[in-house]
Order: sequence, then C-alpha cells, then structure tokens
Amino acid sequence: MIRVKDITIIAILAAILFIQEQALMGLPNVQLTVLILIVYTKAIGVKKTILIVLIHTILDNLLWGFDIRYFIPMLLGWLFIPFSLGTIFKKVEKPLTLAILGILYAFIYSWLMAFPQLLIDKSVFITYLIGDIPFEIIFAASSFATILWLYEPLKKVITNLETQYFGQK
Amino acid sequence: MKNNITKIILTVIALIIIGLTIWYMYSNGGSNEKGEITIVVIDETGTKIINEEISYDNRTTMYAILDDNYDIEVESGFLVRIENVEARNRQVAFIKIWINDIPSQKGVMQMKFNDGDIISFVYTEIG
Repeated sequence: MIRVKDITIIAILAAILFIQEQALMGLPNVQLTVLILIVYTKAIGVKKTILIVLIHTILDNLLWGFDIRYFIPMLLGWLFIPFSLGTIFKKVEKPLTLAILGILYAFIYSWLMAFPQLLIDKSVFITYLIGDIPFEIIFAASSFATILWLYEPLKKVITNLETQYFGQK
Repeated sequence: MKNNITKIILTVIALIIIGLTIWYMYSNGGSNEKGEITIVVIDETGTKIINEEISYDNRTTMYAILDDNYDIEVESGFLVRIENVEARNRQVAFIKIWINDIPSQKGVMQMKFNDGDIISFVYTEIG
C-alpha cells in the first residue's frame, strides 16, 4: 500500500517536473524533463517515477487540451525513461553514459510525438518529421548538457532530502 | 580534473550545436531575391477569398509579407488566422500551406519561396 509520505513526495516532485516544463516553454524545445525523470528514477525508484509521469502527462493534457492521439505517445515517450532505466540500463550510473541515453530518450520521445500527425494527414506527417528535426536536435543537445552537469548534484539533493525527512533512501 | 575538461568540451559542443540549429531555424527562410508571388486563401467552404499578386523585397519572410498585407494571427509558429479564415484548434482543422501545389515543409516564419510562386493557404479539416 502506498504511504502518505510517498504520496507527498510524488506530488511535490510531479509539481517540480510540470512547472519547469511550463517555465521553459518560451525556449524552443529546451526542457529539463529528461534530466529530471532520470534523476527521479535513480533517486526514488521506478514505481514512484512512473506515477509522476502519469500525473505529469495527465496535467499536460488537461492544460493544453486532452486528445488521446497525443496522450498515448506522450505517456509512452516519458514512461520509456523509468522503464529502461529500471531494466536494461539499471546499472548505468555514469553521468556521461546517462547523458548519451538522454539523447536517445529525446529522439524517441520526439518520434513518438510525430505519429499523431499521421492521423491528421500524410503530408502533414512528413512535413512535421522534417520540420521537427531542428527541435529534436535542440532537445537532445540540451538534455545531454544538463544531464552531464546536473545529474549528480540533483540526485544527491533528492536522495539526501528523502533520507533527512523520511528516514529512507 | 580530466573528467571536468571532457565535460566542458562536450558541453561547448552541445551549445554550439544548439546555437547553430537555432540560427538555421530562424535565418534560413524567406527569399533572397526581389519578386512577385500569388497569394491564394481558400476558406472552409472551398471558396477562394483571396487570389492576388504581391510584390516583395529581398530578404523577407512569408510572415512579413502576410503581416504587411493581411490581417493574420500566428500562435507558436502556426498560422491560425488569415483574414476570416480561422483554424485555431489544430485537433479540428489547420491552415495548410501549399507552394505551387506542393505542401510546404515549413511554416510562415521559415518557409522558402521564389519569384513567381503560388502560395496557397487552405483551411483543412482533420480526419
């Protein structure tokens, strides 16, 4: 059963994830979402991060208009991070390796988000794929740089806070 | 120490890539020559509400041409209204851009065009 303190942690961390994305909306595809999801997965575990991703995706869709065609790829794109870090990349801890994974996550998320365009129009899909390449590059490069520098200090902070306030690692 | 130098070098490379990409995105559109294009706007009933030739100077973008000649609205890079043709909710409809009967690969801020082109803005329903 999920404890009240777990619910509290999940709520606070989901709020941080959501707010940073909205705060950075003005920059073209620069966001800390990949970094934060990697930090959360490594610091608080896969299960809690999955719940955070669910909350984040629902909030995002509530804010920008719910559409199942966008909801599913968005959810899959973000869920891929905790799932892969909890399984095939479980032993990866080096910031440089995680930063390279960040590039992969950014492209996978971007490509998944292109699929709904197929339901709109085939020419729109091709246009979207081509037009999105610069945004994908910015997303991947910014994810790479932020993970490289911020992964270790952020993970340390969240792990310490959890130990300090909730007596667990 | 060596680790930090590697991180700095990789970060500089990442920043250069971001900078070059942004430069490419915002400087590569429009037309480099003077000329004349035909602007066509088709509304939701399929009626041509605009069909006219417009002259432009070199180093201008489609956005600038439209903004100078028509009442338009652009949201997040997407043309959502031109005169009375409005497609604000992209889940319902959008304004599709055609350059000489070929769908444009880019939006009004970045699309390339040449003298003599016919640029059509067509209200297009989804589904």
